[in-house]
Amino acid sequence: MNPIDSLWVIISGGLVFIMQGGFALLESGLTRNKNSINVAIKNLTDLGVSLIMFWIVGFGLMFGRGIKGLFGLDHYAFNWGGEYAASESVFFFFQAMFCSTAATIVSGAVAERMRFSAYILSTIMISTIIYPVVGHWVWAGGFLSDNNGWLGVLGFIDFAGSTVVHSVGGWVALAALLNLGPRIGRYNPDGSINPISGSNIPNAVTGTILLWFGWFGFNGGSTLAFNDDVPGIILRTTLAAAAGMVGALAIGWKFLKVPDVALVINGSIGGLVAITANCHVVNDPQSLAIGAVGGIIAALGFKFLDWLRIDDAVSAIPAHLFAGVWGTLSVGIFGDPEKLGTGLDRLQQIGVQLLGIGVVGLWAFGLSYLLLRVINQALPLRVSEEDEIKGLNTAEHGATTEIYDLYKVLDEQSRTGDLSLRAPFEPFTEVGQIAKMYNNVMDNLQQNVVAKSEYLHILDNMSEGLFLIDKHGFIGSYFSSSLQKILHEENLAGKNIREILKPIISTQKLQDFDDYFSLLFNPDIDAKSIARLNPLERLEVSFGHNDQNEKAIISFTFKRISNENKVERVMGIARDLTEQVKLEGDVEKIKQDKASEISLLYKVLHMDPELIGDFINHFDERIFQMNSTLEKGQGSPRDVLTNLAKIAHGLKGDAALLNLDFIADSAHKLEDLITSLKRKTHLEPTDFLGLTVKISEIQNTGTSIRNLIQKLNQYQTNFLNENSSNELSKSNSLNFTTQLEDYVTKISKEKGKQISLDLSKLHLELLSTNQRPLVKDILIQLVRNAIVHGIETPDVRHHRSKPSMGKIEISLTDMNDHILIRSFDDGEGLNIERLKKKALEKNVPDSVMISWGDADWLRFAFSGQVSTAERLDQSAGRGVGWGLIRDNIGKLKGKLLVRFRSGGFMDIRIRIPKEV
Amino acid sequence: MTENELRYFIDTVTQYFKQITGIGAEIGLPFIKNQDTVVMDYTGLIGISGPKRGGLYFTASRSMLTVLTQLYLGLDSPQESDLMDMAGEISNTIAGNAQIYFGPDYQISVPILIDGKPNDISMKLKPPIFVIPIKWNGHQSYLVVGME
Repeated sequence: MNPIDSLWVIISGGLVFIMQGGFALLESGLTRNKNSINVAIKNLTDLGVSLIMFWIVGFGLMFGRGIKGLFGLDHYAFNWGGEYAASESVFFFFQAMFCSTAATIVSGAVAERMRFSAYILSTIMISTIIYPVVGHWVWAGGFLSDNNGWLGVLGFIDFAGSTVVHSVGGWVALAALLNLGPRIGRYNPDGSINPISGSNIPNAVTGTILLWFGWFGFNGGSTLAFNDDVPGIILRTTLAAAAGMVGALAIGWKFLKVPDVALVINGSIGGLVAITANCHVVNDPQSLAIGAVGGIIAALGFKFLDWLRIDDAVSAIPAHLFAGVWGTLSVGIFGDPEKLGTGLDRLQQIGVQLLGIGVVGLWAFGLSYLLLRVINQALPLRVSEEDEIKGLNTAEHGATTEIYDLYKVLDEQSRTGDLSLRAPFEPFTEVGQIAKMYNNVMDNLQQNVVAKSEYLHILDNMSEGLFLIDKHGFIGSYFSSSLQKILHEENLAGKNIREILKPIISTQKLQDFDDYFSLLFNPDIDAKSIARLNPLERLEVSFGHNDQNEKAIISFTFKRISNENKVERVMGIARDLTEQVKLEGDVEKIKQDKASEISLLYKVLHMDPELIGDFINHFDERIFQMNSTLEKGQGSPRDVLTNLAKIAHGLKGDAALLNLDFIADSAHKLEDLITSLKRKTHLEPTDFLGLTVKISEIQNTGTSIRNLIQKLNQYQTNFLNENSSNELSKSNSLNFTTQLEDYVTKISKEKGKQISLDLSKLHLELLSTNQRPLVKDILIQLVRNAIVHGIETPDVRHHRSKPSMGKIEISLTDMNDHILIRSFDDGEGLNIERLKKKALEKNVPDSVMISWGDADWLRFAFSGQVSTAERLDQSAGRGVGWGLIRDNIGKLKGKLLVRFRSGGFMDIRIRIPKEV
Repeated sequence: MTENELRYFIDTVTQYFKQITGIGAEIGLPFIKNQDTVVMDYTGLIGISGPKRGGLYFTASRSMLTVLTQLYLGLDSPQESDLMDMAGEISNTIAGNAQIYFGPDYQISVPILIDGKPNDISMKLKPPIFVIPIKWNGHQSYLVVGME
């Protein structure tokens, strides 16, 4: 080879070498970032590996002396002995570049899922056997002039390798794809296709331009000489590339509706591949046509592949296989038979081309498919699903990119919701900037979320019901959880406060609330006035649940939330005051009880201890009597009640006399209980429980007083020891007299009557110790009856021409053989009319009543069953007083004599025997 | 001692009789205990402590317990121990109900069974002490309750 030729072939080899760079840029630009390193490595690796294998075996198989034109047997480990000189080395160098080109075509198609190790094996496969054998069949004579491949002998023409390089690469790629399967997520089960976009289109375009550049050498150098053919070849190569690009763009744009960048990339490459076989035997216009068709096939071929569900990551197969087939066919279709020099006519040429295409396809596809199938058993061709998703950069090469780190953090954050995660960031890098921004966003978000959870915490734990309402009364979506409990309603968000209040408050209150509500949102009215007008400050509500009304007391306060003179919202606070109010009530009651008790003890302190002592003894007796009545349970329950009532009445009188209101009131309550029990149609012993408990309460009070007296008595020993019983009784009776007088004053004032009481003849000292308490009882009752039932009001007295002051005379005198107790009053005697009414109430028949005379009426009045007092109050009313008198008279073994005149007077005399 | 508490105890006893014998018990008029002792042949005594303190006991005659034991345990001639068991059984029921009624704030003692008539058993009971006569099948018994 002359030096110029060598130079040209070397330069062309260099240009073909640059195509490796073009492939690298193209393939990594068309695939995703997470696989970019992997694609790039494959491109460089297959260059090295294929070169080595070609040197060891490939060149020998391809250009060594062959058998039957099938494959070569020598020239392995080219130039091992150093026997070859410059031109042979140049030839080797040029051919080696072509081998690497064939090998590197596969890497693009299988990108993003093929295992690196498996890819190396496939590269070895191509560069060791598949490519060299095909090369031998077509180009064997290129090196040893007397050595011819059988296809070449038949007239098959492939100038620079549309079939030998590009189709073979395409066939192997196809075989690999069929073994690998499509990428994850590429094809959906329903038939739709997800496009996977490239990470760096500018790189892909640059790569394409580099390839185009390199092709000048690829085709231009295949003459193996710098002769007159070279310029035309280079020109036609460029024209075909351009035509391919334009044709693909024009047709593809129409077809796809958008000018996709893939159209111009694949169009160019397709044009280049197509012209590779025939650029030495066609003219310029023909090259345009060939290029155009090649470009269109390359650009739109992906549709066919997608239809077959074959996932070619960079459209390598349409660009190299389909366009390569077309280019090879074009040799026959367009090629100048003279220039071809095979001696075949056009049809025959086409036939041979077809044969070549078929046989090479069979060989390249078949062998590689089988081999890959076998390799797959031992070493899976494809990476694991996890690795594929992770990205081969990390999975295969342990490399991470910054953006992958960011991605990892984002991924984890979205999975776990852990707001504390932050992305690592390299300052001054683009991804670093994104990471930094992301971290800022997360800081903010975390703070807000934490803050929000704190607010919600407060809302959940406060005991008041806190809520917001807008001007239509709708409750906001955030409120304290207590509100639900207080209002007995769930799901309050968005409900209207009016609708919630409506069923639980009165219509009037609701109306008031409506009025108030409209004022609330009126900024003209000041806050103080608003506060005064709040109708719900202390609201009685009634919750109806399952026919049982639960009552509660709720307090609502409202506060406006204003913004620039407009009331935006109103904050409401609801408090459940039910418990509080109840406790207040209880406390109040206890206070009152205590106050009464204290006033009682105060009175006791200020009273004559003898008097009190007397009272207490009598009191104890009565309690004992009541208890015995219950214990013995004689007679029917009703009888028991009657007896109890008598005793209670006496107790009340005793207490009232001494102004011991607390005890008198308790006794009165006891009488009330008894009366209410009496009214019951059916009496059970258990009904008496309340009575017994009440009696025990009264007993307790007595005990307190007794304790007090005992204390006092300790300081009064002198008095007890020194005085004689007479003195004692006299002082006693003096006090009793005073008490009676006070009593009369008190009751007469109550009744609005004027009364003068004459006790001058009251000689209590005539009584024995046993008689005294009984007589006192009688006297008390007599006095009471006289005031209440006897003496009329001043008006009535005036009407009856009596002096307005009534007269009561109580005397106890010695009648030698007996004691006479007398009560005389100038009142109205018996009020027959009133008695008649009572008789009617007691169902005494009219016929009976008509026959009654004074004596009968008297008997009726004193039978202990009737009272003529209009109102039932403490000082009269139960008709028991007379029963008591009767009982005591009986105990005293006395006799009763009554005289009266209606409207005139009442004269009651009791004779009792003398006792010592 | 409130009326409701008294009622509750009474109900416990009457329901108990009704349940295990089918024969109901009659309540007599309740009264306040004075110095007189209200103790019969067998007594089950229960102490109550807590926010309020006091106690109660159920006391019955030998004949009543004999009949009860015969009905409940199906024994023709119950032994002393059986009668004590019966008294204990009744007291336990009362105690158990008491615990339920008063709740966890109160401690109800294990019933103390007393055989025979000691002088008086009011130590645990706080005045005023209420006596509720309970007549069952012609036999007299008493439920005596005294709590603050």
